[in-house]
Amino acid sequence: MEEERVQNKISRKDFLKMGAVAGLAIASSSMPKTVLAAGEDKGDTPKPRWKEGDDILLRMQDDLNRALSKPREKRSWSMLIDLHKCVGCYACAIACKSENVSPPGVAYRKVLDIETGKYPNLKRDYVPVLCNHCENPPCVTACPVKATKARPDGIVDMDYMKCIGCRACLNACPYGARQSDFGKFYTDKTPKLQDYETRPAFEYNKEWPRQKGKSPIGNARKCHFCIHRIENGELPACVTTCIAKTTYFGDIKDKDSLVSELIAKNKVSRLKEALGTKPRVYYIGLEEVRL
Amino acid sequence: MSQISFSPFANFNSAVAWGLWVSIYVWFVGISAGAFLLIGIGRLRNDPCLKKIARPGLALSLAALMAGLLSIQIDLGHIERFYKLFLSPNPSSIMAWMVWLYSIYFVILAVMLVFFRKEIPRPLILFSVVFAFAVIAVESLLFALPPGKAWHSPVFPLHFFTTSLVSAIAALILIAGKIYSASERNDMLKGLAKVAIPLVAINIIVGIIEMAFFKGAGHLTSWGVLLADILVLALLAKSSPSLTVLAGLIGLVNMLFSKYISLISAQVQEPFKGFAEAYIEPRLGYSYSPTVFEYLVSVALVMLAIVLFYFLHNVSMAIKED
Repeated sequence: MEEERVQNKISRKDFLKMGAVAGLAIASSSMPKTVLAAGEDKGDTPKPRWKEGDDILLRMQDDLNRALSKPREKRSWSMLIDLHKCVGCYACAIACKSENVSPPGVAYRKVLDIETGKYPNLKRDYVPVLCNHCENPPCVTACPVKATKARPDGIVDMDYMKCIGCRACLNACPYGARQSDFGKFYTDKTPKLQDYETRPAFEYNKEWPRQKGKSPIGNARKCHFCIHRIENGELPACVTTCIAKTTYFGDIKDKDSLVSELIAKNKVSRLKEALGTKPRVYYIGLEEVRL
Repeated sequence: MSQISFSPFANFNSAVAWGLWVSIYVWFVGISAGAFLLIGIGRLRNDPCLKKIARPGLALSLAALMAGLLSIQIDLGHIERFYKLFLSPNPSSIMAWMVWLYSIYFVILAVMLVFFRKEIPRPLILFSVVFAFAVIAVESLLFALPPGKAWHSPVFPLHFFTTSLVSAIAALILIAGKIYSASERNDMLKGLAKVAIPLVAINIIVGIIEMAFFKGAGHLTSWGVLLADILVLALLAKSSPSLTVLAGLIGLVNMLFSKYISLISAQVQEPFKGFAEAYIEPRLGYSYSPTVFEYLVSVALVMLAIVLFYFLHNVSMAIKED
């Protein structure tokens, strides 16, 4: 009995060792996720979680993790929107507003509500529109100070600290996807600007508290596929909030991704393809809508 | 540095991103480059009137350029970052090219105004003509090059060119009516009217072609502008000095309207059906009317251009007398 007790006893040294290991484990799990630098990859791809029959968000999450394990130039982010599924709930538009703390007059994602036909043969279509992250982006060519550029992974991003606010990109974009931040607040002319408006946005992996006289006020703004989320292993806000699972996101260079699979299986089209901008946002059912 | 911007006091928005101030800027640059081009061509063709008005014309070109550049600076969302156009320009951007062209153009004008008191050397004139043409061409391409807007047409640069020349000759007529003595004035106005008549006629034809092109897609040239152009043509044809000055005044103001209408009408067109209603918020609407502040600034810019013209003209005359 005494022997058993001795065997079960842990030495003080072992106890301290175990404590240190446990402490480190707790500390590392509670640490904020670090932002990946350009071209950096996580190295260790998390194990796939999705099984046939599971939620497609899990599959897209697996796709995202797999894509993030590759160097940036070897992935090409794309979005697919199935118009047959869209119910016009505007959840994506609101999620985008909230995620990017966008002020009045700035809406990266809009939903077109298009009614066609004559009573009683009416048809109503919803078409979510956003920056198309074009392969040949006219906005990048138009910007006089290189404040906007196409990244190797296809995302057309903005450097808020370079932008001079000339709005050339707004007029160059054939999709109306860019807006200018004129410094408005929803709670302007009220006793106090509310915290939900002044809290920082995390666009482009930086903190942007909305303060008068500071960027992004005065700048052009646009959808960035939630770079700050995807590079931290999260899907864009519009994808995760879509109640009808209309919006798919992933790496089009990865043939096993859900986006690639659906684009290959379905008849897809892109907005204003004749312009030669080569958008990275694809649609299912677009040809049935009279835009 | 903290943001410096006048845009919160203006009414342009994300749809109509370029409003009255950009129209004023385009108008000023058109007057500047158009006047420079006319003076150059006049010198090459030995046109007595255009040769005589060369020095005041140079002062006009420089004054209009300065006022135009000021109006575009006022329009920026971050005026304090203007220097970035020189430090980190994007070679694929037409706007970046414009800034560089304007800088060189500014130096050419200043050098000509100060150093060439009597005759400007012919090679320099030739170079200047090509340069002035490039300034107008690049300016028009800023609008015409990106796809998607109604400006994206082969007619737009041509119309831009003709409106610039009409606004320039109209400004030169007004100057001739003001600065020359009674004995010289009539001959000058008669000569300038001869130059103006074909320019206005061509502008009317190009305007009609443009209207035909954009039928149903928003009028880049309105009927009002065309009718005013026809009135200008009729007044010029009368060969009366006072009517010629009146034609100059109407022509100059009309070209500002023309630039304004062509700028705004292309921007109020939605990229897709239902786009304007997709998100209704301030500064997202597909409509535009300038604020009182925008009007006041525009008037101030015109006044500044007039003061600058007189200043530069007097300076250039003083240099000549020395």
